[in-house]
Amino acid sequence: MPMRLRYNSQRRAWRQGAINAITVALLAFFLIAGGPSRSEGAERHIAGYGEKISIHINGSARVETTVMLAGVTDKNLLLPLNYLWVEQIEARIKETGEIVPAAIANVDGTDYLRVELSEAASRQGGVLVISFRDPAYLLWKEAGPRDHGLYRWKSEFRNTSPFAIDAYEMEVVLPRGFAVFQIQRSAPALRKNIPEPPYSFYRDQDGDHIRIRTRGITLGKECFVEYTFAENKRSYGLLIGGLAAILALLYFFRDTFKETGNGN
Amino acid sequence: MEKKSDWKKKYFGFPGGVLIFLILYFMPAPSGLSLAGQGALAAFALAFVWWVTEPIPNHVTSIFLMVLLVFLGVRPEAEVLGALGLGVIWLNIAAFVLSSVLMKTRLAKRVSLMVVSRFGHSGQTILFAFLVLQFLLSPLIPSSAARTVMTLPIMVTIAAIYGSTAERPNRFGKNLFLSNLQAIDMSGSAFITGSAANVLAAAFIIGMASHRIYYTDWMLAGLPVALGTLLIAVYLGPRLIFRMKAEEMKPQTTGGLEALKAELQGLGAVSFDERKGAIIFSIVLVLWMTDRYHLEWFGFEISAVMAALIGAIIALTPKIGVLKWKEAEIPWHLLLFSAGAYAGGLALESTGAARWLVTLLMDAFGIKQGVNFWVVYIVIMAVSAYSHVFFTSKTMRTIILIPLIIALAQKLGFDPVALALPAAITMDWVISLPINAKPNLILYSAGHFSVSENFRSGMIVTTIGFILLIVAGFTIYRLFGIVPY
Repeated sequence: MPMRLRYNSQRRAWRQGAINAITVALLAFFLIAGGPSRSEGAERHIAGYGEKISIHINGSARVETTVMLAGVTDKNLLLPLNYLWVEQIEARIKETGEIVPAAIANVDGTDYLRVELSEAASRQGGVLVISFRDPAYLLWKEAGPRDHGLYRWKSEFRNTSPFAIDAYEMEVVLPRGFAVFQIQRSAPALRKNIPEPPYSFYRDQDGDHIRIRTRGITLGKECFVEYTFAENKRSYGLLIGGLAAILALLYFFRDTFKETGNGN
Repeated sequence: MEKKSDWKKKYFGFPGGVLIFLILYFMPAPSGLSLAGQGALAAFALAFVWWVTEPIPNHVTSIFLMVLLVFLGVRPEAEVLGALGLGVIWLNIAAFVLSSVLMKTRLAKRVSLMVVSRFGHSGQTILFAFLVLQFLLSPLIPSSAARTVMTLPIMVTIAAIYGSTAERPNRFGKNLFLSNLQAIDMSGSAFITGSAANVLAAAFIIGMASHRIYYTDWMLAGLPVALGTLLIAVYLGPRLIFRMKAEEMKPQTTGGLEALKAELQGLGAVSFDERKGAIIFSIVLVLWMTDRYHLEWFGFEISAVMAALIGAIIALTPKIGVLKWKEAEIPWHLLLFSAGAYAGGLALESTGAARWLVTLLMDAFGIKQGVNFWVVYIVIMAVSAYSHVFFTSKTMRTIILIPLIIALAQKLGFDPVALALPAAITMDWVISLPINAKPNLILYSAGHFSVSENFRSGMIVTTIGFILLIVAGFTIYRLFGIVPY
């Protein structure tokens, strides 16, 4: 038994040594191979990135993406594209109104929005505005209606581009006549120990808006908001029932409390 | 037959609640409030009117509120019904088991007779004695719910000596229970360690305003206002809020104080069961007082609820304990009230309706750049002090309000501490409704006051505290350098 124990401990020590050696070799490999691209990636930032998704009653959506170009040195930008169908792509520089070429590009099986900036646009570092239409953004049949006539949908953004996004904001405008019922989930999530929720909603002339903000979205990270919404009208049955209940309570209980109290 | 005012209150309260519900539910949803939040607000308003006017028993109103929340789709059924499994409900159960132990063994009677023999020449002195007791216990036992459980049996027994029972509560009982409720909650505001909400508020002030709050800073700001408010409240309670006649200030037993002293003598030596009861209670007490060392001792923390349940288990164990299950007087109907009320309060918080109400209050006063500091100070203290009505959690209110106040102060160019510290003190002023805090629910479950009485008394005492906070702002806070203006 003691021999066997010693043999086992020797074998454990040898195995541990081998694991350490492999770990060191792997670390060295990643440092050498991954070093330049990581430092290169660290320099590639987009300071601000915003998306406004205005959903039409027919399920299509008009998407307006704004990209702050300050600090972006690339002329050929590959920007994340999180929509299945995209048409009517237009891109311009907000400050000058300069139209810039933009199209969908598939690189290694992933779709991107490729934008080619002019020398001037790249140098000036203004705000790039890209707008397009998704003809089938909200799939009504998939969304609902569920219990209480609610529809549930998730608006999401995943950064598939080589740029790290410092500040990201998504604004969803619900179809006219619909209102936010409740925010169900979000990333970043609502946590009890933070003073402000990551999302907010407000009503404007064009409808109900849901806004979510986050910081530091690197490659592969996502931001989303999942919400329920409903037609912004209440059941008249409940109103009539409520009014009838008021009259009934006034009539049936006109003597009850005088005589019996509340039964507590 | 009831008084005419009570009859009218019930008669109009019943349809009045429905009317308020319809108005809130059918009005166009304001910007920033979700449809679920609007539903929660409407349902809670209906329940609030019914709790205050009591056309139907309060626990039935609570059950109706739970049903309404599910019917309106505000919260899922499992979550609403799950309110019955919350820690506060279990704490209530354990509290009444432990209270029954002290009642059955006559230990509560012995302690109460000792207190009454010493201070009982006037009901007013009893109220002051309890105030001192609660202030002394506050730094020793951080959990306000634990302090409530500990003092509840003595309150019940002394109330009975003064003729107040759950079946027939009188004005002494109302004064005793409500002044204790206020003392338990508000004494926490005197010390930074008085509640988790205080520590959190201090952390916000450090984190957002880069100003460290020391123990003495907090005490200098909190203690004078809390103590002053409670002293005034205890003095005014029997004179103004629940006015008592001179004869109601005396023990309602034949033979008066002398008979009670004789009864204490008659109890004789401490019995074996009394000793057992004292040991069980001491175990729970030690667990409450040593909560910060649990992790080191046991490898895990024993919460106030679990400690009370351990006590209840020992008390109900044959041979070791002193109580049979059927002897535990647990007011189940009031636990149902608590569950429903909590479900309503939680719906207000989780749908964002409570947050929306607070920001609405802030906006309503139209605080803008250039406004005088004292106007801002008064508005913020008012919002901080009275907003507790909409919340079931001090922590949640702190998380919403304190960063908002710090940000507002920074925007307006004022010292954030000058506004945030006095406002943070009000976070423990949760005294107007049974759902505002755990002690309130436990004391309400004892059956000596109604929701409307709690609300009336709570609003008056909050107003006293608010006025003192303003006076303190102009005087001692300037002296201590909390308000640098």
